[in-house]
Amino acid sequence: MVREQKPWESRALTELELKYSQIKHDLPPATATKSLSSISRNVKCAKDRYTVEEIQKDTSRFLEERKLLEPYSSQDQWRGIALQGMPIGYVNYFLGAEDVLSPELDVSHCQSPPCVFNTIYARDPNNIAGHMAFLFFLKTGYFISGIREVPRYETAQPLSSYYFHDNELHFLWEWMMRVPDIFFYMRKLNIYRFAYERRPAKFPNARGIANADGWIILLDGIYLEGVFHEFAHIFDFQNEFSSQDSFMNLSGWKEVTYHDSQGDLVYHWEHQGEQEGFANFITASWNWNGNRKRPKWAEQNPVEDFAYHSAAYFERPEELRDKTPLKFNYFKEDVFQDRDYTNEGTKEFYTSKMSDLIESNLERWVSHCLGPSGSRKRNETSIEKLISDIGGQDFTGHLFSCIERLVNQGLEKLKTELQYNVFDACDFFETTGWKDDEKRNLLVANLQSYEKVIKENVALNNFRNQLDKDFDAGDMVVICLQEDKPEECFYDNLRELMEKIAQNYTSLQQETLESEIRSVSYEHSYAKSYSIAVNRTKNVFQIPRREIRKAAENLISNCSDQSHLQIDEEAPVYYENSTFSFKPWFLQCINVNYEERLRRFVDRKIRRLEEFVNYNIESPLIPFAYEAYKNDFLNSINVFVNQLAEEQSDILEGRKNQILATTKAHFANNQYWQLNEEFRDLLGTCRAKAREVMSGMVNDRQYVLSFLPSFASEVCVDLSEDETYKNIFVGGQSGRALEYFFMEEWNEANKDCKSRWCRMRKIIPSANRAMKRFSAYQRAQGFEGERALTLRDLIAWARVRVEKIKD
Amino acid sequence: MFFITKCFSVILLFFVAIGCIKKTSFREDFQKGPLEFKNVIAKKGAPKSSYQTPEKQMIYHYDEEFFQVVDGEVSYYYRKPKDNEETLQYWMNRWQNDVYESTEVGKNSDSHIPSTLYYVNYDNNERFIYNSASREVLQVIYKLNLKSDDDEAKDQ
Repeated sequence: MVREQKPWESRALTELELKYSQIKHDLPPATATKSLSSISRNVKCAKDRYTVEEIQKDTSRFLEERKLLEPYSSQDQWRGIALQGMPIGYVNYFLGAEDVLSPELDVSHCQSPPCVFNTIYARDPNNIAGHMAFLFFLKTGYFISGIREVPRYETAQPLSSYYFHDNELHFLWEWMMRVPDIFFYMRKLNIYRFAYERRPAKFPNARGIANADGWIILLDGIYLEGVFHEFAHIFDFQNEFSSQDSFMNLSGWKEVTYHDSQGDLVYHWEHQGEQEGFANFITASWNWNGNRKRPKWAEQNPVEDFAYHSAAYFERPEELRDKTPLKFNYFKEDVFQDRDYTNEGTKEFYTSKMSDLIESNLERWVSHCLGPSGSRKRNETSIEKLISDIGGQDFTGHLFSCIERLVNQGLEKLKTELQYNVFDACDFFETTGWKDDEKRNLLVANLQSYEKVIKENVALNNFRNQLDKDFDAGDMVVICLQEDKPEECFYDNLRELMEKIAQNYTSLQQETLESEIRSVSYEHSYAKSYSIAVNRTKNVFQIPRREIRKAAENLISNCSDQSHLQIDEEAPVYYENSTFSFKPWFLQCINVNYEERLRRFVDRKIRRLEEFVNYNIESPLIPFAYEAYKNDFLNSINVFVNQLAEEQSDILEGRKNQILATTKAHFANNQYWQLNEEFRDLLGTCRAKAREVMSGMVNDRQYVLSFLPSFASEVCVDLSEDETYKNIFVGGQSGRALEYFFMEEWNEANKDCKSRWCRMRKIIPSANRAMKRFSAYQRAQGFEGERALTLRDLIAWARVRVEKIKD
Repeated sequence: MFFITKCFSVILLFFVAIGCIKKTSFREDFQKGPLEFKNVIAKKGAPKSSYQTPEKQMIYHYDEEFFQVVDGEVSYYYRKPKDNEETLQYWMNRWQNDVYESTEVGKNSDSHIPSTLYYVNYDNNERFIYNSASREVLQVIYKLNLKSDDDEAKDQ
């Protein structure tokens, strides 16, 4: 049968229909399964879950999944209940149920829909009725009434006459649990209860009434199939099945209209459903009113025909299939998307679940059983052997046993979930279930079908692992962000890498590789957004020039303000070839402070960066984006550092000039200090050279003694310049003092010496004494600086001098 | 003054005429007088199917319309509603100043969906069938080969 376009696919929806279909489409699908961890240990089967606890679990799950737990923000009230802070799901219920919940009772003490419903129904607050009514609304979008009225009929009875009985509420719950979700959120729909022991005069035998205005009325004697029947009417009103030729032609429905000879309109429906080639009607299997002749309900018109058989499709599917197979096939193919509730159909349904599980997990199980350390070649060989074995009905191999074990584990878990979530699952597993040979046959069939697929997917897993190792999305994005078209850059680089890796995996089909490339190419769409975000980031992290200047000035000030320096003249500069430079200690101070300030600056900016990233980038990409942003941020730090350094140099230069303007004769000392440094450097070099020479003569005293002439003869000390160095070294007011002190002490010591060696032995003690006097002299002068020479240097200098003294 | 009055009258008559024409042009062309079914065949071709009522009247069906024929003449014309004609509101708005009545048709005591109603406008002779369950107008009906209601009453 050619499927004709359904009416809802072509005609414009009314506003209400649109709203509800949007709600239906926007909602995340009701989860078919509940995770094992949350399944109650006490309730195994879905059909046994009509308890307060289980209904509350479902309610919580729906509220959470559909994000209906968000607190309502407005300060509204509903019947004395403050709505602010309540979950939006609650508020939706209250506002939607306004017309179906009696205002006669005070519900202001309530904080939840179940409490409101139960209060109106005069039950305890935690009664299952209220919980069921709220869950019914969440799952279906429909409201169960608790009000002293029904549309279009008299409402003179007490409120309690309109309460749904417990069994009726259970019918509604069971209907909700069993029908596919195409029955939900069809439109705004209220379910009313006609007053007990009363019936509308127009429909004295009815158990239920449905109307396209959006209500259903259930009456005394309603039964489960009747509930299905009424909802089927609504389903039909929404989708116009019964007016379509594809349905009407099944039974040869014809609308008969004519005027009789009296001019009165004759209007009825005629069918040929009892004729060969047409869909017969199945008779009602229930009988109420005792001996009354069973009505052929479905034979009145196509609308009743549809509703009647639709209910039978759920409640008496085998009878429907056997007695009117044309209609059965129509419902199966055109209405219920091949879901079939006969025993065979149910078996097919659960077998398909089994098949889906095996199909979707087979590659993963095979990879797991092959083991992570297997080489590509070995894995392919193993798979080939596996296929060969099972083709020969040999199921004893390690690989097959491993896979079958995983299959059974997965099926066991699936069975538990199905039993908990699907209404007829327990019945199925208790009566039929999955047989071992069925499972094995399915597994074998899948393995054989997917031999190539398995091989390819094993290769694909390995390919993906390799790609994960070799590919750094963050780096690539950062690199490509510099390009004019970052997303193209990213895509091209990625593709190149993937094609290179794929050369090692010949089992990979080109189509699969292309699919992989496409599946990761989404990231390059983010590269574009990143480049936009990076520009925004730069704006966030730019630092005004004046701030840099201020920072530099602060650094200079802090370091200049040293407690042991009281006078500007002792500014930390030294004189060098007619220029002044900053002393090391001063620069050291700036560097320390500089680093500290920079570290604080970086910390502050990192925190801002993290805030910026967290609020602007989708959470799964935060690490990825952070890398991209961080590099650019570090670049901005470098820019700041350079700018700060420039500012510092400018400011230092300025300060230097300022100092220069106030300089006095002390700078001559500074010249000395600078030359002193050069001399120290030179001596250091000589010491190193001496160590080098002496290292080969450690135990040879003679060689040690002969060291000095060698030391003296080296270029390290230019004896021709010695006088100059000596003069300069000890020159200056304070420097000469050192020489003076030394010579005074040494001459005193040498008084009795007759030889060079005697004089040599006097050097060290004399130098010690001279240094002490010189240090005292420096302190007295208020001049404390870096000591020009160490004691050792002095000694060395003296020894050189001794050599020049002729005996 | 006379000239102004005359112009006003002409203008007024003009709008009245347009109103009448508009109303009249709603009817199908063949409603202007007795209609022999052979002329319908000549215009539309052979009918797709036919049906004989218990009183031996013939109903001839085309795709979206059908004709009730007595002695070779069309007595009633039935068609599907077009566009807004599907809604009850359209007809109620259209008939707001007319005399009409509705009766329940196809009543079956076992049915438990709202009934089908037959609306008849006695002023312009438009009729339609309305399904209050699906809230749709099912058919629009015209009575042809009109005698006046008085004549009909006399005949009876």
